[in-house]
This record gives sequence, structure tokens and C-alpha cells, in this order.
Amino acid sequence: MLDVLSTFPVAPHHLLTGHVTRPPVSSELDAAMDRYARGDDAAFAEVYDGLAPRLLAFLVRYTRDRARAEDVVQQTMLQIHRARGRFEPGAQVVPWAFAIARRLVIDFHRRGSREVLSPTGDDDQGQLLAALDARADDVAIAKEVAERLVQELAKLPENQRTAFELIKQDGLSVAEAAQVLGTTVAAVKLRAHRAYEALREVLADIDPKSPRPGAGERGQA
Amino acid sequence: MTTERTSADDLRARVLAAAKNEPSPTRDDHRRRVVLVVAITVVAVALSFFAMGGFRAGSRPIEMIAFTSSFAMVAALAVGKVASPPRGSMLARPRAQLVTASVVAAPLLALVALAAAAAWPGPSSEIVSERVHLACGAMTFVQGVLPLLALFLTRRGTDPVAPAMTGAALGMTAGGWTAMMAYMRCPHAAATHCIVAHVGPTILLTGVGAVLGWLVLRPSAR
Repeated sequence: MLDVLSTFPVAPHHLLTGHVTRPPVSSELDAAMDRYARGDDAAFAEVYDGLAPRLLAFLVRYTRDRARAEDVVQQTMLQIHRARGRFEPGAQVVPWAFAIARRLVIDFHRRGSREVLSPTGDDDQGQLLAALDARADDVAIAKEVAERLVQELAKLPENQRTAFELIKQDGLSVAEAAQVLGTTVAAVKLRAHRAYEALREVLADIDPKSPRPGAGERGQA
Repeated sequence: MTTERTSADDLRARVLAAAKNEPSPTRDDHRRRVVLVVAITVVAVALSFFAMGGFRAGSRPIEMIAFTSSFAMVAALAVGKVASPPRGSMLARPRAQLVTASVVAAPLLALVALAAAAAWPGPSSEIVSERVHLACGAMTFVQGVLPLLALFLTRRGTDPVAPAMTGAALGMTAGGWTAMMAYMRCPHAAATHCIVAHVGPTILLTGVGAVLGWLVLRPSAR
């Protein structure tokens, strides 16, 4: 599956938010959060810019509802704002923010029934891939992989799926994912590995190197 | 895509405006608050300790008091450490550690009470009435509530991962401190009394801590 996934030109969370740049380095965010905790109010915008797109992507995937995801991003950022005084020097803000977001969204789901799943923006993904001037067959393969990946991920046990997504899609380290999930590094590695193996098995029939009709043509924007 | 961008810009503006309109304590403010809460709690616990009779050895040798109360203190310190996030993290330790610390501490304290009774059989052979068990147990519980409230007050909304389990560990931490004071305050050395009236309330405090943890430590949307 690694080969199949490597054909996917942009990480799925970037597709959903429209951001194709790499997320800011965690240490820069930690430094900004540290300045905010010490009272530099202007640093909150920096913290927001570093966290919000990643949180939004995570939450859109979790809720399948952009409006709700935005609501939870707002609540998460305000929780961070209210608790800034508790931010310890040398602590990491990314796993903290993801853990708060995950808790809030779980509570949202507990309070009300799960919302009807809304489309995940497949058309936008296609447009973005096309805009990136990807080859038409690459776009088709990537879309197929992405669709299958979403379907197969949904079938995995929640703990395996979350571990896999936090590491592979949200860009957290194994240690950060372990903190978010309240478990050990070894347990997260095992869960992610099981998810990876399960996905590799079910996606084995997709061969990224197989020729497709229209191969060699450039995608039209 | 354009709609999403606009919505993202709106969200950013909304969040930054909301943060600006709602002042929050900085690290220095928070530390000052923690120091104040800790100082008030220490004074309140000390006052309650003396109000409940202060230090009373009774027929117990000083070694026995030191043995039992120091084990309770070690339990409080150890569970308290597990209940705190590790250095460089804002999040709780793994659930397995929290559960182990919360579950193992009370039986260990009970074993210490039995070991003390075996090591000092003389003072431990006294008969203690059920009324004394209940009265002493109630005092132990009440004395544990003060540090428990202080711990929750300073950590409100801080545990998004395992709030109930962290709460249970904090409850056991408070339980360890109150068991230590009970061993210094209570002149009775019978193993049954120590288990029922000194260790029993720690289990109750652990349960209360779990419930309070779920209600208080969890960040919740406003």
C-alpha cells in the first residue's frame, strides 16, 4: 500500500483544506505558544495559523461536516487561549490541541446523534489535483486510491483507524499520537501497523504502475 | 474552494476576536493562583488536623507511626506523580499507568496496615468499636476532600484524554495524604481499624475523584 499511497501527490488533509504547503515545524509552534503563555498576545495568531488548518482537516475527516468541524476548531482554539497560563515551558502544543479537539468532537457526538455524513469534497480534491498539473492517469489513480482508502479506513476498528490517521494523515509523530490517544508508544505503533497491514491487504489490487487509458496526457485545469 | 477560503478567513477572524474579548490568565497569573490555592489548602488541612485532635500516638510506638504514615506519604507522592503530565507534555500519562496507580495504591496501603499489625502485635490487638471506625473514617474522608478540591481547582479543564482516570489518580493522591494524617492523628492501631477507617476512605476518594475528573478535568465547549 505504501507504493499506492506514494502516488497520491498531496496529503489528504491538505486536499480538504486547500493548503498544499507543509505544516509549520512543531518547535516553532511550541515557541509561539510559549510566548503566548508568557503574555505576548500577538503570538496567538501565529499559534492559530499553525494549528487551525491541521485541526480543521482532522475534524472534517472525523465529523464529515465542515460547519461542525469549524465550530470545534473555534472551541479548541478558545480552550487553548483560556488554558494558556497552564502551558508548561518545553511542552508540545500540537498533541495538546489534537487531544482537545478529539475530546470536544467525541463529546459533541455523545450529546447528539452522529450527523448525517456529508460529501467530503471529492470534487474539490479532483479540481485541486488537476490544478496541480498532475497527469490525468495519476489523478484517476489518486482519486481511486483516496476513495478506497476512505472506505477501507472506515471499516477498521476505531483505535487502529485513529492511530493510523493521526500518524499518516495528520502528520503527528508516534509519540505525539500516543499522547493524544492516552496510550503508550508501543501500543500506537502496533495499532498503526495493524491498520497499515489491513489496508495493504485490501488495497493490494490497485496497482499504481498499471497503464490507464489516456496515459501520458496532461490533466486539464 | 473559494467558499472554503472565505469560511476559513471568517473562522480565523472570529476566533481571534473572541480571544481578544475574553482575557485569559498568563503563566505568571496561573502560577500565582496555584501558589495561593496550595497555601490556603495547606493552612486549611493543618487547621482541620489540629481541630480533629492533632498528633496522638496512643499506645503505638513512634516507629509504627513512622512506618505507616511514611508509606501513605510515599503512596501519595507516587500516585501524584503519575497523575501529573510527564515533563514536556500537556497531556496525561497513558491510561494503563493511571489505572494501575489508582487501583494498586489502596491494596498496598492495606498490606502496610497488616504488616504493621504483624510487626507490632501489642498495640494492634486492641478492640475498636464500629462507631469509632465510622467516626475516624468520616474524619479521614473529610480531611481528604480539601486536597482533592485543591487539586481539581488548579487543574480544571486540563485533561482531554482520560479525565476520569486522572481524576481517580488525583483522588488516590488526596487519599494518600489523608491516610498519612490519619495515621498521625488516630491512636488506634488495630489492622481492621486502619483498613476500614484509614485506607477505606482512600477508595471512596478515588471514586469521587473519578466522577469529579469526568465533570471538571474535561475541557468542554462553552
